Amino acid sequence: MASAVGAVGAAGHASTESGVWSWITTVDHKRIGILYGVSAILFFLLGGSEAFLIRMQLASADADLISSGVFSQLFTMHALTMVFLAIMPLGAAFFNFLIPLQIGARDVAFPRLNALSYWLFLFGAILLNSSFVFGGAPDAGWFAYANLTSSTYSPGDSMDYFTLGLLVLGISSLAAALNFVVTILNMRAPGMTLMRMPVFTWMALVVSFLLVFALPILTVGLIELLFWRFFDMPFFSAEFGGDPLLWQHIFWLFGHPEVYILILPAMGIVSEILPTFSRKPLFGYTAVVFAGVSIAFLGFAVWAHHMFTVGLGPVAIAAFSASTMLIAVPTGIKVFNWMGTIWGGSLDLRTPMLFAIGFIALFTIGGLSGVMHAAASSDAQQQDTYFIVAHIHYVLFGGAIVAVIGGIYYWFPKFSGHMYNETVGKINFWLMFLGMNLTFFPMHFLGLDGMPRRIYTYDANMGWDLWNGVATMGSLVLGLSFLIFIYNMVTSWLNGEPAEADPWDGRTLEWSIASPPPEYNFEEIPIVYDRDAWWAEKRGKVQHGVPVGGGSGEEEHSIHMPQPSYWPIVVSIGLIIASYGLVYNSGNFIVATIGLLVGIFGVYAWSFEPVNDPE
Amino acid sequence: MANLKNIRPKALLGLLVIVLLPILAACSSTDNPLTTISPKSDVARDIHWNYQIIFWFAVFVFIFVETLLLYAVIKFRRRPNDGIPKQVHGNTAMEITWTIIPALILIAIAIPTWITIFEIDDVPDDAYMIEIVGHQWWWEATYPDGQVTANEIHVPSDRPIGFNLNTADVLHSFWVPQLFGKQDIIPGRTNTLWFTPEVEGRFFGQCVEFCGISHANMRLEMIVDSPTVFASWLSGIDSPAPAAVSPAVVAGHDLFASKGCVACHTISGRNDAVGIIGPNLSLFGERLTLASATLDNNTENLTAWLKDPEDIKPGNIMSESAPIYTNPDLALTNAEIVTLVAYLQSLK
Repeated sequence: MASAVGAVGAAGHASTESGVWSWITTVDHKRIGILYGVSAILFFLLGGSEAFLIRMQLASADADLISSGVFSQLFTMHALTMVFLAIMPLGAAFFNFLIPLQIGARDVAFPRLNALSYWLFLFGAILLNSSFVFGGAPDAGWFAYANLTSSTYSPGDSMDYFTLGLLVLGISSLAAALNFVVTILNMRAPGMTLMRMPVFTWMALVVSFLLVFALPILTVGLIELLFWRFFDMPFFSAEFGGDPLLWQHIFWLFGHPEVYILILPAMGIVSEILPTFSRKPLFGYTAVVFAGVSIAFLGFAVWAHHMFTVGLGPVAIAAFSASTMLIAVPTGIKVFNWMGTIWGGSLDLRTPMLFAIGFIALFTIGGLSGVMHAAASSDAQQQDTYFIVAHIHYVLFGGAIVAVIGGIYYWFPKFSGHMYNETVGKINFWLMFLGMNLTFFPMHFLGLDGMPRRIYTYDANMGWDLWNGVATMGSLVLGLSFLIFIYNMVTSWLNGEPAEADPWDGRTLEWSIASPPPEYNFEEIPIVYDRDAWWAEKRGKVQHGVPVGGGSGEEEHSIHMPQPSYWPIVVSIGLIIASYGLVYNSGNFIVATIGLLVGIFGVYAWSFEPVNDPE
Repeated sequence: MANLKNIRPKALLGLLVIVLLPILAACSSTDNPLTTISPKSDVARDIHWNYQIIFWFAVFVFIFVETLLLYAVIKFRRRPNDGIPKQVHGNTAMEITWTIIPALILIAIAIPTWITIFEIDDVPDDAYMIEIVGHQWWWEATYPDGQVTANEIHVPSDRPIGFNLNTADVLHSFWVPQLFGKQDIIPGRTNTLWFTPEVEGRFFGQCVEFCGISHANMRLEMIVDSPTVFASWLSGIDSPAPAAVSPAVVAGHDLFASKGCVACHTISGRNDAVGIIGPNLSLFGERLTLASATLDNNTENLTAWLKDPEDIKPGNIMSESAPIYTNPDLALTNAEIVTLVAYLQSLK
């Protein structure tokens, strides 16, 4: 990790200082964003490798490449890695880098808390993955249904790594979400009313609220699981009066909003790319914003559609069928408004635009299969088959990942200060589009042919060879496209043409400042008069106001920036020591207590850290 | 993209539709053992009716949206002398249209869905009820008069069949797609399922809720018999095992007790073999498959299974706890396996 951070430090010019120590103690939202992004892409590579091993094993019937035990670890860790260690932190990378720039602020509201979120994410991710080395990774599925997770059916430490890893990651995400809510609500530039906010920032606000409400639910479930395993408190154990279904309700009450936590940032990204490269404002801004908000609200009312086959009774199933179908309405509104945005525009089909259009095409497929599953009776044939695997990958790969990669291309000049290679970018897109469809479309057929999820082997007479073979070939193309992406990023960052401040004729405030932005972002806080603030200012559509300075009574050249701090990393290290102490507790909790004390000490020291105030 | 400039958008779209539809239609087969699109019971047919309505709506919306998108991308791509396009911010009439039309489509989908949900819910009063218990990783079936069998579940073709579903350990899910949609099995509650057969035959099923490392090997067969065949099969379970006919069978019969198999397996007609931890092996010789429908029941496979069950079904309780597999001193010799195979195959 250190070398990767060092490489970024050497290549990036985001801040005046460089060197590993400056990255460890940084509280600059842009640097934290880059740390999030680089770490998440490394974890994406790891999760992708796990998926590739799974595809190799399933390429043909009766394959013997991977044992069933390792296979269970691989599909469990693939999901956990992609959800918690790749897509969520990629979202966090964008939030960190862009929110202050889009709202005309100098940093987030709580810069040190922001650093804490990153370090907890990194250490939580390492904790979770270290289980591979220390006796086996979690292997009960990322959904970890009780009672397979009990100490009877999952002896050993793997499920403790699951519980503690997700708890640590949960603290990280919760702190980050609160930070972004406060930042967006309080630190917008003068004149930027909520309904003038860029759609990406709007979606970030919605996602942050989703996290604030959804994560505590998961935390409750994880604590119950922990107490069940450590202290025999039978929350989910039917024989002692608990209920395994309670876990499912808790998990999906978190888990379904989680799906929107993964996809709404992607929708925000696409809503930025399409207007810029169409040279038109977003069609139906208000509708797109409110559709996002209502998706988030409805997201809390549909969890039981993951449980259509557990025996909830026809009335509950019919109700959740209807609420799930309702989600298609705001989703449809978004798709049609994106269509309205490009309609009549002047479409510049550069790499980010290709990814954004690809997102619409692929996400539509995932959305439609989603509606098919909303029909509970029909879903009884599709639940837990590869049809669902196809669905989630069209939503999370075709949707979230494709949009995020488009977003990385779009903002690459801004965060690196260099232009990416356009030709390589287009090759990247077409290979990824092809590979994605080759890998995941055949899974629809496999699902209709009855292939269950999470099986490590199947018989030759099942008739699943052909499409499994195609899917595995597709995953090779997909892997290649991702390597090309990495190649483009690394070479462009090192040798790319210097980027102008506004290479795309952008519409939002981040394009009004240099690429990469100076540490303080805005020399003078802008005044916002229009929804597409920067576009309007460039076109002289608004009466130009006087930008406000860095703060009341300050000199123009003494911009007050937060000081670096190492206490966030100290607190994170304390919590990780405590987590390992809990995994390996042998009746006593000495190590866990020491770790907790380190954490508490860190919080105290943090609170009393002298503020380097100019006064 | 330069070569695309001469292509007329409409021609391209027509081509897309013509190429795509047949490909889509031909990609799933109704011959596969676990096919979900070839229903062979009333319940499966109801579900399939529901599925088809939604499928065609989805295909229609898919073609509409993707066509529109492709058309827009080609038609509005940037040309050299493009100026700034008209800055349109929205259109209320269109917003209302594309809110209401999808809502109407959803209502059209929701109504048949609700009808189906309630139609397939209640087990009919006259259903023939079979108790199913899911184990890691095999299925146990108990018939109304107490007969027990495993993994190969016979049912009569002339009446509705109902199941009460329970588990001995973790979650499982019971599914024979040509006969009924899946139903999860949850500790502490009894879920139900039912269907009325339409044709006789063998139907394949599989556990579809992840239940541990041999989840993939937890399969089953449901065999729909004519009422007379079913009645004679059922009474065959109750009748004692045939008298030993060959020395090998006699030796296998004795080994089945001396090697401890009887501790876990029941064979009707034997007072010493009444174990209930493992599958009931009455009429084993008549079964078409073994090891929870993972292998055809023949001499070669049965020998392989007895030799190394762990290789065929990782983690299974027999290879992890039976003394003949955990204690090298008690391991079965090849000669012993031959006699056990002969004995098990004689159970008809």
